[in-house]
Amino acid sequence: MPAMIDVRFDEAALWKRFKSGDPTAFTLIYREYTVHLFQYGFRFCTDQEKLKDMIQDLFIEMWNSRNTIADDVAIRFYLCRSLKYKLIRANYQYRSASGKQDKYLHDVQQPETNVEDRIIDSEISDSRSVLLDNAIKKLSRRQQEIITLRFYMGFTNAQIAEMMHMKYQSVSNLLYSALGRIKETLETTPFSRRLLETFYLFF
Amino acid sequence: MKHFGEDTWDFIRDDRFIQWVLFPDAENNTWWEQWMAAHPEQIPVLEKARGMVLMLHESTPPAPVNDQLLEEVYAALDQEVAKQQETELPVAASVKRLSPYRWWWAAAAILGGIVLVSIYLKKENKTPIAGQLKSHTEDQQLIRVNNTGENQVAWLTDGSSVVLKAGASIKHDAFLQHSQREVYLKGDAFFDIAKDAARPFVVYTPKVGIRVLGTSFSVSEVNGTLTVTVKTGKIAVYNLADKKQQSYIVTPNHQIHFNALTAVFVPDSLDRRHMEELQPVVTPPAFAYDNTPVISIFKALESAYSIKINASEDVFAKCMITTNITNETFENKLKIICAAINASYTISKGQVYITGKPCS
Repeated sequence: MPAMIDVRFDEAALWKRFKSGDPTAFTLIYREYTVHLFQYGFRFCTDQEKLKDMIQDLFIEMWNSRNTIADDVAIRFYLCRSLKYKLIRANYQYRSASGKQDKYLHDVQQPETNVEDRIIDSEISDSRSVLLDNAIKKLSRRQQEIITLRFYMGFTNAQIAEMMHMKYQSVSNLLYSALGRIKETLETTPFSRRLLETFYLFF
Repeated sequence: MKHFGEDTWDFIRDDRFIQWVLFPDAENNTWWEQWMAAHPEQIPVLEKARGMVLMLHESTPPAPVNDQLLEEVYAALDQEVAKQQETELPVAASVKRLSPYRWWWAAAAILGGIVLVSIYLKKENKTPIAGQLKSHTEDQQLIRVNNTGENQVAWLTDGSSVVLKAGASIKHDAFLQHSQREVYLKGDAFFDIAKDAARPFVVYTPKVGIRVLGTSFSVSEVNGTLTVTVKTGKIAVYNLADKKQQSYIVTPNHQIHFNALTAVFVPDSLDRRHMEELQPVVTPPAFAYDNTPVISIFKALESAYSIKINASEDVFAKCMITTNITNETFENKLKIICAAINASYTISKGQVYITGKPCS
């Protein structure tokens, strides 16, 4: 289940307080959203120190220019978009999900074992996410990004269009093709097909 | 291209649907409940789409973020804020306030990312007045009796609450540490049970066992007939004398009567008026504090849970915190408070001991 459901920030109120110069509101904002910025930023920049500096700068700039920022802002979207622009200006381009980032991920995750073994060992729900994870990793980087923006970040189609520099209609097409691709991958192993059919997902 | 579950597409591309599934709140819940009521035939597809979205949500955290890195960012920004405050506000205005940095970090550590920070939810400095229950320990079990003429709330350490009607009592393991959460009830009560699939909750009345599969229900007894009424969720009721323990499932808006003499269960349904009566008169107090002395929070917890909390008034007199821990279990409440005041707690022989240093 997604976290943070019971008590959500009242974003609008928080933003208003931030804009009026309330340091507590600012603190709440950066403590809440820095994680998301790192997660998002890793797609472009695997140099953690660089990324850290940029995120810090981003917040400080935001605080210093609080008087001139728009009143009505979806905070997470605003921050992710600002970070993306910052990264692009600094010449960090998309990178694929493989390579360095994976190397970094492996430090944290369990060592890669045989997928079937893991499935047998783990609970059904875990194995579902393992299979799905693997299917998502096979997507193109744009497809991966849209899956993250839509289902992890929960951004609207319009926000995604702006973020990914696409037409509104193209967002739907890309999302649709990404989901189709996931299904295709899942179908290649009979085990996962059976598993997913059990849950009526994607079929 | 092969198609995925087509029927779900209309939901998946709907911004409002995604918002609701990922970030439900009162407003969008109402909206979608109304939508479902108007389109009952669509509910299976909606559930399927919901399942897909949740699964994708869980599968796509882009990368775990190194705590060390986060700490560095927070420290740098905290410093920046402090620096600006010094220049803008020469008067030290926030002496009492807990460093928000420490507080957040504590909460994050405990909840693994589920953060309940609410510095501005509650304006007034209210200390919830929890039950006036009499309590004592017997055979290592906590017994709590409502001797007042009114309903009283008894909190349980797992986050559940029990509204005891006048004269009712419960007996249970103070910290509910066993694999099954067991409460012995005498009298009438309304239970609101915290979900914990790994540890079923069972209420024993003298004759009947009630195994809780879901959330809230009431128990009352009139002239030897026990009545169990379900408000939300699902429960299973069985006769303790029945060796096979054949159980009866009771669903919301239904009740079951059990006559002790005939040992027969009789199901029944409820009209609206009865349902309204079912609502407990007392609403459990909120554990929400704005710049409140920890000593008075400990007092409130003591009386809500009937568990003695030993904390030195001398040491902690100056510790103030702002937090909302209403929906936490007892131990998480302790953890959050202790982390905030840089103290630690131990549980020994049914009591809690807080140790730490004075706050400046």
